[in-house]
Amino acid sequence: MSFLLLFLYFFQTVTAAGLAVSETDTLGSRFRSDLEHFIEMADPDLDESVYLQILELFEQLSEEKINPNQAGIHQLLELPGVTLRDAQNLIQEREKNGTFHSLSDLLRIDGFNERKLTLIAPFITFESALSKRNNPFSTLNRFLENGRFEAYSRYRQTLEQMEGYRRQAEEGGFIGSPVNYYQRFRYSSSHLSMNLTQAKRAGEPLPDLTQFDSASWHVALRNTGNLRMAVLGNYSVSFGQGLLLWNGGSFGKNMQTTGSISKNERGIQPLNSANAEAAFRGIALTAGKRLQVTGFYSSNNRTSVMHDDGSVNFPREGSYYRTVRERQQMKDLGQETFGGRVRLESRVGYWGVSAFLNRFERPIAQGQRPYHRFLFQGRNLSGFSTDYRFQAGPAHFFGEIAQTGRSGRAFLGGAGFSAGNSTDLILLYRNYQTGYQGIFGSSFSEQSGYPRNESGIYFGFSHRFSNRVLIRAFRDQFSFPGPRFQSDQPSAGSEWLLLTEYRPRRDLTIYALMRFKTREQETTGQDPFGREVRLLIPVSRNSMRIQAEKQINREIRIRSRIEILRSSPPNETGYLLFQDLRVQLRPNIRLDARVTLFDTDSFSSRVFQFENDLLYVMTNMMLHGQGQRIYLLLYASLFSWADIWIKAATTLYENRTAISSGLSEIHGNRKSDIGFQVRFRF
Amino acid sequence: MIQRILFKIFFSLSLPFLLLMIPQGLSAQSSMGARSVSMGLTGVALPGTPWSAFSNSALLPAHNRNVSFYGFRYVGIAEITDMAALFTLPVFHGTLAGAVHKYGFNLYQESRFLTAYKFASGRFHTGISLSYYHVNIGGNYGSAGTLGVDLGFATELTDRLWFGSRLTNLNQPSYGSSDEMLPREVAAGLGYYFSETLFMTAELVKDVLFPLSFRTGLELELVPSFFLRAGFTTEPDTFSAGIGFTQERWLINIGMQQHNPLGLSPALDMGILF
Repeated sequence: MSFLLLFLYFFQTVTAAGLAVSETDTLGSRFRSDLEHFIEMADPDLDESVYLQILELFEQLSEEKINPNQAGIHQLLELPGVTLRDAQNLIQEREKNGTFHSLSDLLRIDGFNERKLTLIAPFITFESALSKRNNPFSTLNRFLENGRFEAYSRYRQTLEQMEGYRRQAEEGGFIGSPVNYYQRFRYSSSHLSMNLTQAKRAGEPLPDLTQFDSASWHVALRNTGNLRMAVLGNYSVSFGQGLLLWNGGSFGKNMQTTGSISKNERGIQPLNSANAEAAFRGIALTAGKRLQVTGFYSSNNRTSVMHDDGSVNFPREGSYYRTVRERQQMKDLGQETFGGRVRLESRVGYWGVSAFLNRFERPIAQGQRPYHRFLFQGRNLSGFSTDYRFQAGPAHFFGEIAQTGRSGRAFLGGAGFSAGNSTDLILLYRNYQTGYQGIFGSSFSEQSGYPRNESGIYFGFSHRFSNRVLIRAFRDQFSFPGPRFQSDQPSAGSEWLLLTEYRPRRDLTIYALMRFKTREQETTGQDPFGREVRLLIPVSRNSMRIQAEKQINREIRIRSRIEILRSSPPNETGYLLFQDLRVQLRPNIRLDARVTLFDTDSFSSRVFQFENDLLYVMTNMMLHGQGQRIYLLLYASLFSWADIWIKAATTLYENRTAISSGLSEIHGNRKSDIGFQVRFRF
Repeated sequence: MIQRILFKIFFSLSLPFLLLMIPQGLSAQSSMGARSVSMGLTGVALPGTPWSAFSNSALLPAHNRNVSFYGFRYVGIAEITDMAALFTLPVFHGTLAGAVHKYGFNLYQESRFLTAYKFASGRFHTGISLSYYHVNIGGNYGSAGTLGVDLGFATELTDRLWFGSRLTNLNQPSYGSSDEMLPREVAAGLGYYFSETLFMTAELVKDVLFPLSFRTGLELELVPSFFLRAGFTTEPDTFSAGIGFTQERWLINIGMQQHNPLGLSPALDMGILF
């Protein structure tokens, strides 16, 4: 604790000394694109692939900004943390008191405070959209309206040498250099989007500039007459509540408790990230207004482990291609997918029907464990679903029911209520059969991976006592009726989250977050006769976090956090403390710095922190053991057409002589990373 | 065939013991009515239902006479079914209620005969109930009975917010001359009308022998006289949902509770008002 105080003191002193105090600054500049705020909503214990999708969502939202003066209720609900009541209040305020001209205007709306604005600011624009003419192709100029070209170049590297680079390629070592390189070229206008993204990850070779291991591209037309979207290249699909088709990123359970629980479909979206394996590649079209019809075809190459008999494992996402062995399996599995959707929109909501047909080039093999019995095997899979979303009085209802193959079914249904002026409630029930195989799905669920083998009920609650005090809570109760990974028998669990936020002044926010999670896990024990039996024991992870954030003046923001985590069994404790500083050195230069201390008994009591990073890079640091982490991030807008980001980070472990294991092992107790990114915009 | 007979013998011998092992939190016998079942077995701060006679007699409705019937089939097993009938009658300064409750089957049966009286002074409501409990174990194991006293309190803190509490089996009864104590519970909760159509209640229930249980429920009047309800409990983890339909002269409520791993339990009640 004294550590924290010391830092607070230090920064206060620096402030007093008068760091570059710049002239006038609007409220807007305080809410710069802040991925950290966005991503911190999510559960830190999720799969990395989920985060990559959330990152993609962040990019999409920030590139196709929503104008609060024109957006309808469904569009507003796409904004993170915006509840139905927020959207209704916004529209009401707009109808009553006219248009909004700036972010601070949004503070007029009941329930909107600066914290909420921080979250949605990157996705909002007040520039009025183009005029709507019936024939948008009349002139080329109209078609290229608001055109903009962007190029990104990003370099990142871990400075310490990993085991993989010590070994020769023939001995199973990494073939390429430890450099992470990413580049992207994009042209977008109101109706046209063209993009090429290429990436080489650490350890992957790059013989020449045409041979990036990860790449995506697209040419897309949007909002031209009856054509809502047409994409050639890589794209993501998100329909309904995500039971059947959803690779567009979404939050599951999150700190907002009542926001972002029901899904707001984004349909077909051109892909921006290099992570093309997780999405589709081919052609997709959406046309129509109230009655929308979507069709897509995809032919993608996936990476999976091949067996001697020619069958393969189910393809994974996020595979690396660093070693000879990894490269042999690279994109060796062809996958063809057809899909479509019909959506009928009415004044109160919409109703849709979706379907897909999928074919793998080789048969997917069945594994040996009990839970493998229910997973997809073979080559062909089809699925269909129907979903709804509508409003009735103070409530909105949403749901989807889906089937894959001949038998597996899944259902999700929920309702959200805005009660009185300051209360939101949400309720979500899901029941996914063990045999459901929604391999493209990503719906509300406790487990990672596609929705299956789970039933449960979620209650979310948030209540604003006054402008200063807000509480949020959720409880999720779930069970897994069939076997799952590391558990051959049915199991269950539950989770509580409780958040109290206190804002005594506009520039100070303090919150306390408690999270209690228990899940049954199978272990081996003995019965009274000394025979070996498989027992279910509840395993819990409980954490408590207190965070304070203070805007000292227009230029300086400090943020302190302490987090304590208890896990059992084994009974362990983990601590994380950080002090974060943001300084707006000049109107165009911003510095982020953070010092983190962590001390956990072992991996079971691991702690997490999200970090700000180069734009569109996601850093969710998992920390365990004892140590300290420091990072510095500098952002500068050099010219109106050029921005740069520089990040340097180092983690020093106290009680280790090696970090990580296998090919990623680093000899020593320090891991340092540097990154540099530049963006040109014309 | 022999296996089936053996199974039947085993089943009939072991069932009473199995039944006794079912935790009190599950048997829900202080919360009756399909509305309570739908709303996470709440009832201590749930105004407007005659089934308050069991869950908090201070909340008995003051104005109308009514007769109600209720059935709850635990996880679909006919042998373990709650059945109850009830009347309420406004009398001098308060409300009088009488009820019968039956649980079990010929090998194990519990019966309860209840009278309750509630009176209000301003916004403060008090209720007391006296029950005769009778348990009969078939196969010549005998039977026994005892008397239990429950107290209930409720306050309208504001026009929208209710507080309620109950004390179950205050007199610490046990069956006959055995040391088989009846469940003793303390419960307290809040009920809040967010608007005329949305009500939420949350309560804490502690039985001396079982962990503290949190229960909460939500009721939405979607269209006039049609209600949607949902709720959940902890210790044990259950969740539930249901619907209700109310007319001037009669009402009907249907509820469904999900317990993991036991499964689904349906509940139904009907009432006539006159």
